[in-house]
Amino acid sequence: MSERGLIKHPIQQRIVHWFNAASFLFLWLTGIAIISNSGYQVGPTFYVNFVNSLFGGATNLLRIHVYVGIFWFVIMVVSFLVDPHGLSLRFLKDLLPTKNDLLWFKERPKAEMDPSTELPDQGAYNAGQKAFGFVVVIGSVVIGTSGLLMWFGTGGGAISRWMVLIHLITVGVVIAFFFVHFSMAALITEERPALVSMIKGDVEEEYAEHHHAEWYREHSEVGEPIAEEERFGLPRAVYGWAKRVVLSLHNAKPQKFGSPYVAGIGLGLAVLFGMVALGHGPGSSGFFSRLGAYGLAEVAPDHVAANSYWGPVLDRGLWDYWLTWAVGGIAIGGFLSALLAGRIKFGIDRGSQISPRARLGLALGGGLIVGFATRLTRGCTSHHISEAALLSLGSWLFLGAVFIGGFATAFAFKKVWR
Amino acid sequence: MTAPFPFVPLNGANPAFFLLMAGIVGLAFGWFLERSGFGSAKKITAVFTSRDWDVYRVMFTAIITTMIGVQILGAVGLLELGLLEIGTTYVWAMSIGGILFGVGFYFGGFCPGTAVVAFVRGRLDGLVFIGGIILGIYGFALFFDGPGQADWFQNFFAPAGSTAIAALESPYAWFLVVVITGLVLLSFRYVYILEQRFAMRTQEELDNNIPRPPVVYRKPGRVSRRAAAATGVAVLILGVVQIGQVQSQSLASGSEIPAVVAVDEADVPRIDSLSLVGWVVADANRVAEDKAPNSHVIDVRTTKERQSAPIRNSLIAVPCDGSSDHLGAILTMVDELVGEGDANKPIVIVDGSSTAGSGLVAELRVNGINAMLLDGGSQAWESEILADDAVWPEWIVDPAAGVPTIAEYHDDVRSWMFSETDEAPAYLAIPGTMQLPSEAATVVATGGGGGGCG
Repeated sequence: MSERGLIKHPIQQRIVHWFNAASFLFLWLTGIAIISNSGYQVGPTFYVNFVNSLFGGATNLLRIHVYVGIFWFVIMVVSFLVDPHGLSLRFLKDLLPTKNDLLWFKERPKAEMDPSTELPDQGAYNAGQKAFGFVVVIGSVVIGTSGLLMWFGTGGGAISRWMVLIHLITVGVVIAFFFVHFSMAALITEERPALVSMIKGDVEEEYAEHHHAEWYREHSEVGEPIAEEERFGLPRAVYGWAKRVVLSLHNAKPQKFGSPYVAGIGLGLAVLFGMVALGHGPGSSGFFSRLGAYGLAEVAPDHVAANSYWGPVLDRGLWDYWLTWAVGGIAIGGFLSALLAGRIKFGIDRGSQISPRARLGLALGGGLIVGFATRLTRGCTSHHISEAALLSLGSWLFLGAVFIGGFATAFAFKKVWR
Repeated sequence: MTAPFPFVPLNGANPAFFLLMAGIVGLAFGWFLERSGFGSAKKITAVFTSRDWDVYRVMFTAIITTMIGVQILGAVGLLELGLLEIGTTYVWAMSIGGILFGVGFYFGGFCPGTAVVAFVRGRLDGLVFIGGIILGIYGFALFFDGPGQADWFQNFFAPAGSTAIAALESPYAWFLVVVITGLVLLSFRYVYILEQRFAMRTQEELDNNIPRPPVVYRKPGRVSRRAAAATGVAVLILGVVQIGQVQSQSLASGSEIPAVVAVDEADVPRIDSLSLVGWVVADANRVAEDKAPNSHVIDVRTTKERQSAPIRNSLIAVPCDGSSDHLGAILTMVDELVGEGDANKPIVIVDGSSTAGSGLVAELRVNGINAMLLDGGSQAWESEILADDAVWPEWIVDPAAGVPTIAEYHDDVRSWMFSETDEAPAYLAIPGTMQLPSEAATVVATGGGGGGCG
């Protein structure tokens, strides 16, 4: 190929491009006929009737639109994310904006008047193509996601209705850009090599040097074929970034703990805020009970419903339960504090004479006992700290009993945390 | 004048806002748990081996902070202490369960809240502990459904007649607050000594039998002495003010419960509690005979008020907050009720300390609903109907119904109100025949004959 030109678009990229184009065209043309069914109409009546009769009625038409849409979205997402040939990573890198892009947008209109205008050097895609690339990538995600949500939310609901609006607006924007894209590629002779490169895969050296000078400088030999090390480029890159973030968190130097009295006053004020806002301080064990009930009900609904303790819980809701939100808050608050103090550490805490496996066993066993006990005590430490402040007898009994139980066990089993 | 807080009472009127607030409270709580070092099992459990008492320090500093804060906000009238949720006290279940909790706490290294913090810090043992909690609760659910149904366990788990035992609203709460604060502050001095006594020893020290260094007794500095003294004086002054207020209130009102009357809507129709109890009993019997009830009771009290003074067969609505959403919810409820029968059916609104009921009744009447207010609200119901020493007039019992004495009738109605059954015992049939008032305003607010319930 290098005798004819430089490799620009490998076969995989071309397949995805034309698959995307064909799906888009099909979904667009069927979509127009679907909109026309619901009160207002975009396409002319004869067109709507024609498409409807072609697919055997409105219901079938919608069904086919949805199935093809899901097929398109799944293929695009999977091929993009799995990125077996490193092409989506390359594509994303090629879309990164550069300084020259701004300049290009300023100079390009002048070139229409005066063909001698010097345009700034461009990479694999010029600034206009990049803009279209962004619109297509973001638009595909929005159109696909909103379409899926519309499909799942069939039968109405506020989310479903919002999604219809978002779906249509995004399609409108993409179509507007598509007209420019289409006329550039199909109608303007000067841009013909770009169209050819999407069919045959390569560009002539002269064209590359003129239109994509920066790209040409880097790839003047054979263009840009798939290299062995580019295999699974995007997943590898994502894995690399994630690993770097995780390691940098893990290796952060932890801050020393401040005064326990200051932390205690802060904790007390948080509980006080709970009293003022909710009439109660936070808790957490109630959430775990409900989480367990709802989780098990996913697998064995009859078993849970028949239970006299967990059965009634199922009627009370998980997402509109205040402790669900309180525990979510505890998780976020704890994470933010640990993040800012450099105390995010992956691993397990254990005594020096206990193996990691034994420690996990003890954590499970301790959790079992604590879980059972919280049902007897009607709440965990957080709950009883709140109510101890309200001078509740039961909470003071609970706190005293916890320390008695803890000290007695520590006395008998010193080794666990030595 | 009702205090402006708690902002959104538990089970409050605006669920989305309430949930958001719960999340924010959790966020602050989780932040300070992590700041305390509670994301590490090793640090937490060191309190039980007496090596590091920070858990104790944080926990009890938090308790006294909240405790004093609640009392101050209550004393200055910002926080309605009666609306704070206090769980029922189960002395034995909480004590035995607490000991069990301590055992699991030491082995597992966490309590439920701190396990969450440990998990988000990346600690695997935190996640495993959470899994253990859920399994443990599942174990409890299985136990509760099987052997736990036995009488011995039910009597231990939830003995009949248990109530919340709390000194929060007692006139002597301040005395308790001062004593607890003092004891906790004092204890901080001793845990400092204990920490030195049981400090972790290095292997080298153990091998060479090096004795522990002598315990250092730290004298409180001038600043902390002055701060402690100032806090103590402030707490005492506030306490005296509070006790004075309580006593002047009880002197002013004598032993009478002050009538709850809102000025603006003072002229809404009211029903006295003795008439209402007749209606409720009569309607329960009508329903048992498959007839439509003659009236409906809509309860807009808080959960707490409802639990302490229940009205059987009442319809529970969200507590009054005066918002238009609330009115809408009640209107929907009434529409459904009215749809069942006579549009002129009386709807009795029962309110509590919020006293927003009269406004609600006025609004409902504007909307063409035959609404009326329980005179005296929750307090009247509690003192005139449910109290042990409530004395009922002769007219409330129908001699033809074969009821032995007023006292027995009172006892039976009272225990029925607290029971779980919807059916009133048959012989408690209504005193006389209940009339459906054509004009609700003819229901006399107080006194003998009691309107439609003659």
